Amino acid sequence: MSKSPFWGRPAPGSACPCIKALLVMKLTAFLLTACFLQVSARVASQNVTFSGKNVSLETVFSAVERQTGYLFLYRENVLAEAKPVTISASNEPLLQFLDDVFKGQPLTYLIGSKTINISPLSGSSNDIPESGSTPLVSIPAHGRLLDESGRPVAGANIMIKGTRTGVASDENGFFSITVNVGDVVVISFVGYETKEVRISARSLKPGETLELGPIALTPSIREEKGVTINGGYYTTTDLKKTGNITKVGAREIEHQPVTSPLMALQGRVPGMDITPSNGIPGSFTKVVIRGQNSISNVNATPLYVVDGIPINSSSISSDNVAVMAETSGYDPLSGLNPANIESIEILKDADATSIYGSRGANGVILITTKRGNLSGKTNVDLSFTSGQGRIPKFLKLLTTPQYVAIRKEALQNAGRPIDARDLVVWDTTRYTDWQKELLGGAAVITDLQANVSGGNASTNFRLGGSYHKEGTIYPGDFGYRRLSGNFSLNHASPDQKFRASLSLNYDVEPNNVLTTTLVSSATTLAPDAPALYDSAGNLNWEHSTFGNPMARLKKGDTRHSNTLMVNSALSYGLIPGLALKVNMGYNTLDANSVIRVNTFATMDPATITSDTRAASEFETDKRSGWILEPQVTYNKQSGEHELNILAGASLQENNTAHQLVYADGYTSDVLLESLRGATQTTYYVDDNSRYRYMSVLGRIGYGYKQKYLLSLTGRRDGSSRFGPNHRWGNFGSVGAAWIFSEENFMKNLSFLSLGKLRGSYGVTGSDQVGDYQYLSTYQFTQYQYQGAISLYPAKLTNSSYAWEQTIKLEMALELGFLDNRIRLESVFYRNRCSNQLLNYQLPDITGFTGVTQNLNATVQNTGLEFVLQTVNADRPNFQWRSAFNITIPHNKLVSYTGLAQSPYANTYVVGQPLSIAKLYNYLGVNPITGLYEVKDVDGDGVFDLKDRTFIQNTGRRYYGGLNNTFRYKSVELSFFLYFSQQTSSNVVYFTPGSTPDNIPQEVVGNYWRHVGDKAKYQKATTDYSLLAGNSYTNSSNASYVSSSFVRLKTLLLSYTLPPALLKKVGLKAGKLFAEGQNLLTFSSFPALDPEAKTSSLPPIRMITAGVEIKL
Amino acid sequence: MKQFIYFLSLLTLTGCKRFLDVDLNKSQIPTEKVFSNDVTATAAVTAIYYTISANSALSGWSSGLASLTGLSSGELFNYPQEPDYIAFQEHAIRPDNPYIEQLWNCMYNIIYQTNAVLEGIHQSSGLSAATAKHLEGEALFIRAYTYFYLVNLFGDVPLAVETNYHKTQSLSRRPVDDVYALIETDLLSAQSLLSNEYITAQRARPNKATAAALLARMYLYRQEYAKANEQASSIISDPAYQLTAKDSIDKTFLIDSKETIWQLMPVFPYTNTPEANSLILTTIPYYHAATDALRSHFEAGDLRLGHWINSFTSSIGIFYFPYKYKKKDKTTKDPYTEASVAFRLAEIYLIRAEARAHLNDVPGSQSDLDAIRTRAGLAGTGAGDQQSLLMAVESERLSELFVEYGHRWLDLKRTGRAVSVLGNGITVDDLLYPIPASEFIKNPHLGEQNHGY
Repeated sequence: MSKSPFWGRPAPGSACPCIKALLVMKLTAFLLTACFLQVSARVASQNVTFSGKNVSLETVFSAVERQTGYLFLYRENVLAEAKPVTISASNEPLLQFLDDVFKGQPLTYLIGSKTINISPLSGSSNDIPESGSTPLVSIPAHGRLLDESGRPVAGANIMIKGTRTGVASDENGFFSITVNVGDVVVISFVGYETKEVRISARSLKPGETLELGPIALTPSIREEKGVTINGGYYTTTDLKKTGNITKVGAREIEHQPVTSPLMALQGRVPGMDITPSNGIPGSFTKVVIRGQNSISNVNATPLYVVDGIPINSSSISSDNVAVMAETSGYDPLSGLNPANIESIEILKDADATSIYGSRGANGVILITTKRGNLSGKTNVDLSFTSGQGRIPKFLKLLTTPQYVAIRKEALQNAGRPIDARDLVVWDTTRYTDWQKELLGGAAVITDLQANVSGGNASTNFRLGGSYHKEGTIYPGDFGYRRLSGNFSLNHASPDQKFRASLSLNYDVEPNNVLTTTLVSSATTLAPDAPALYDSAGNLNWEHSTFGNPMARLKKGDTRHSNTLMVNSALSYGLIPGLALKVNMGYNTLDANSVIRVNTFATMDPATITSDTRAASEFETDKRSGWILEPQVTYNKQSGEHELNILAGASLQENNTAHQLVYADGYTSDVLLESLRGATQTTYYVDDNSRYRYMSVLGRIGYGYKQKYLLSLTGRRDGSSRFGPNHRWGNFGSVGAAWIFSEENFMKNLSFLSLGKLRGSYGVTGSDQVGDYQYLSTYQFTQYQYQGAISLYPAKLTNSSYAWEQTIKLEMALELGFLDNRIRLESVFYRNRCSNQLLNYQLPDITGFTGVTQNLNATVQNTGLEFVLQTVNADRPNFQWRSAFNITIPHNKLVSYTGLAQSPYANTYVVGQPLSIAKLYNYLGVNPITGLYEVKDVDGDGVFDLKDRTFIQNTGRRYYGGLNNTFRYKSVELSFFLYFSQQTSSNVVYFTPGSTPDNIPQEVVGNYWRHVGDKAKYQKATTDYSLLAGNSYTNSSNASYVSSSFVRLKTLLLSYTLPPALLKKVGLKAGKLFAEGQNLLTFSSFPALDPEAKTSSLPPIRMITAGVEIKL
Repeated sequence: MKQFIYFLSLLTLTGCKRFLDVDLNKSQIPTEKVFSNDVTATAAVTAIYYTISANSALSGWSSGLASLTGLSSGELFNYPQEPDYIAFQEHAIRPDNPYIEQLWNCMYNIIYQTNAVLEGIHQSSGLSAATAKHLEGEALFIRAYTYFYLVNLFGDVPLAVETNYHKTQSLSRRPVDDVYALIETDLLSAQSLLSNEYITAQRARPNKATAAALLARMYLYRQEYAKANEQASSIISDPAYQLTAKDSIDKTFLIDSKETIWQLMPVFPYTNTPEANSLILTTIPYYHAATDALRSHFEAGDLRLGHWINSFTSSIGIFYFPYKYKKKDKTTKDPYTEASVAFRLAEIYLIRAEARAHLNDVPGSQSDLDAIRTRAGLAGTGAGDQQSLLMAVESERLSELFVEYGHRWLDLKRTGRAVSVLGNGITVDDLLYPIPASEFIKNPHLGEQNHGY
């Protein structure tokens, strides 16, 4: 390839006047061709071997082109004044070689992704005078780097060309660098086109600072490795990270009709196991990162950090079973509007999590909310989504004639008269499909979002509000509502030294909650059960023979909650590279519930007497916390060395208060929401606690030649959850990465565009026990004795327990092929959790059943995680990308000193996962007796633990997701498949006709009737003595079946409105979209859903459509 | 900058320490504060009575002592045929029976509380001498009372006399004699520490006479009849205690009954005594009902059969139930009219009658027995010698004390007559309940399970 007679390079979207002066030439077409021919894009990493005496620059250039694949671009006459060079280089880095070549030349060069641009040093017509006659003045220059959508670009290199002086941009994209007249500032960042800014004489006024303004970087094709990653206290990039941090961007979250932002991540992050407690919006979502570390389950919550504020990740109201009978409480993150989330980063290995020290053992989830744009324009974004959801599947149950026949047979077999109320009192000609009746409704969802954003490089803001309403599929007007507002403000002083930011999220959830589930009623009510309402429209009790399930829906419980999260950061740059920063946060959550325990409206009138009274529960939850984190950061780039140092401290306080007041004696339902209407109130719960936490932390990141990367992290934590002598713990990690594709010896592998090997090792911890456990205290009894208070000992006290430790090891290989069109990340991890902190069970003779203490047991989680991302097609009008991830986890109890003598002796086995179940061995239905049988292993005639020799692993064997996105012109289609291979228990074995409940239709013709029958189900009977085998069978291997599934979790179709149309109606942008959630599930699991428990509401099949416009 | 200076000051060592010393939960009171003044120290003792009354072990709830032993002794039967209750009835209790675990667990929790009170009082200097003395007496009494039931139900049991779990978690079973030695020491101390008067209304906290009552019972069980006679006499001679009259036999269990020596107040605002709540039938029994054997035990004309046993007629038949406590339902506004009577004068008369029979004081024994028989509307006893008097006392104790605090079961056990009286497949091994299986798993030093389990 010959030298191209071009000078300059494209600078689209440039905002800087000094760049505008450059001759802009369109190279797009050329580059598109080039990128297929020159598959390598290895900046500053290729080496050159060349020797010559007084050779022309053209000769040198062609040698470099041959060796590196770079193209030299310059105007024809540029080399006219160049001097011949004498040089001898053996395997010298390209940058260094070029520096030598251009030494003393009236030329400068700029390396692009595949090109080297040559330009005269003195610039064009309005250039500064000859350098010899210009006094050298060093002037500080400030600028800010933004990406194509106005978001800051952190960690980019800013270098003065031809020198080894350089800085990196901070997390907000800002940088400061000292410049001289004539300097060329080179801004390079992997994933973006390299950009240069020339410092001309005109822009300089001695004694002042130079404002370079916002500088927009253009993404380079397919180099997504440059994505900025939030590491919590620091930022890094996908390429430079030494730890395991997965970033999920706004695009993947914003259109999903989910209440909890976490649910949007299901299946998308390897190693992250997300289980909804049920399909009710706002309920708790269980998240486990890289397996259960602790023998006692409760310790397994990751740390949630929203805009730098740690949020209490435990569910709300979990002690009040009345509130949400089927869930483990409310989701503490439901107050966060998913549409307002910019990104979620999941930190998994030691290198990433040890900066969170004692709280990083179970992983860290960092949530960043959206900020203002810096484009200088004001944008108004509006979006509206609406849709509805239904339950995706019903069970096939018996019809009335089938049901009646089996029930009668069961009674006859037991020698009992046919006197059961479902056969005698109820009308056996009636048939109701209770699933349709109780679960057949549509859950309507409505979502409105409005945001205004604007500003410039010094000040910008974003102000938004949203309304979200989601109904349930149950009859009646229940639903989840959320009103939220957010505000973000960023400001920088004119010299960019002082910066301030504020973000505020507020949310109100006024809800009519449903405190019950109708799933089990719907699937078990007898098909001949009476009508729900009588002719007058009142609840029908069928002469007190029918427990009307609709009564529960009439209670009308309410829950109002509001959440406020405020974060503010102030920073001041002392000298270039060195900054002081304070991060402050405050958050509060208030929830008030009124639960109607007993209401006249829901009672069978026949049971109401003059003494009957109604009762309510009043529950309040308050959580608040603040955090203060002073930090010093120092970033220095010197030649091939890059150093990032962070030192800081963290002070934190969390307060919780929980009250539950039981009020009764109400004489009318009208009074139920007033405490004063009650005749007696009792404080069931009156709890409050304070948690304080302080740390000193530090991190050193070092990079050499952008291919050897090292990270050292240390943290010393103190937590108020431990006794005075056990409060402090030290945690730390080391992480390293080697980008081996930058090495010379890899040069010939042209198909390999990225090769990176990284590993980390370190210690993290957990302090997840309750507050004050080390203190000996008394607490109040619920009621009083003889009208006076009573105090009883709260627990056994152990003041000497200490941190739980998890030692994490990770090895990963990241590969990019064909110019990163194919990217594969393979990870092996091993986490070992020891010194387990839990409620250890003690013999009752100690007075209690256990005490908080450390346990000498080690639980190991190992696993393999693979992420494969491919660009299958990339044409101007058609793009197709795929992302696939799979996690193969393995959990093992490595050691447990004294397991046989411990209370877990019958639960766990050393060498086996924690998720095992010990089961009976199922033998089948005895053809002679017609009864279920399990094996009496020890032959002692008794069925006990000794016979439960079948060990079943109930954990997931592998899980993951596959996402495909197609874009044709302005139409985009993406679908996401979520899959899991697992085994779950399901009560599949029943005794036909034993209870007045409906059962699956499959039983017909499949149960034992005559001697010799080989049947799946045992004989129909109501004889309780014949049900023992049934209960053993349900604790046998037979009742554990595959609950593996593949689910089409999301399907999104969107259409970007054409600019011509938008112009007509005065819009900047517009998009129409339709989305389906949980559309299809492939599973052989016999219950309603493989993910939901038997009686909980399965995930809803939701179909929504919406429009998004920008004014 | 201010925050930064604040932070720097916190970085000093004392600053750190202070920052991490957080305020305590306002609903929890540090142990040393509880025992720093009379009010909260007293609250720590009344919580023990609360525990007894609210929980199912030493109470009259359907899974409490009276019901479980009532099933074992043939006074009650479990109507719904719940296997874990039937096990008591059929003398086929398994070591993992949940009610056995509950009995054991609850009693050792009560013992923990008494030990905590004793330790708290000894370490405290802020209590008034009179209060400290009385509270110590109450704690010792309750500890003895609880061990009395433990040793009688389970035989050899571990003796926890401190709260330190590092020590108590590996205790071994101790011989019955050692347990009784502790009971006697505790009771004698309690007797000297407790006041003659009740320190609150309604005889809801033990006094000196209560300690004497348990001493009398214990000496009877230990066959130290002179001492039993002596302790019983001290109560019978006290005019504060009177048997209710024959015509007011229904008032025996009322809250202000003069017959009561110590009673436990109900604590739930919605329910009366656990006994009334669990035993009185207004529907087909959820739990237990009185056996025919119990009803047929009464002599003709015994007022107790008509007044203390009642019936409920359902569509499927008549069910009988103990009716000593009359009031089942309660609204929150109603005052309590009955309390669970743990010790009453009638038992003391019967203790003395039995002790005197053993001491060959036939007339004394007869007069004590007749005091009870007269109140029940019966003629004087026909028993005229030691042996027939002992049988008459045994019979009278059932008629008088049925379904009260395990009396019948413990009587049959201590007199060695259980196997012959009860039949129903019972063996000597069944006289001791099994120690919960989980205790052996959690404490390898505990020792051997009771024979036969």
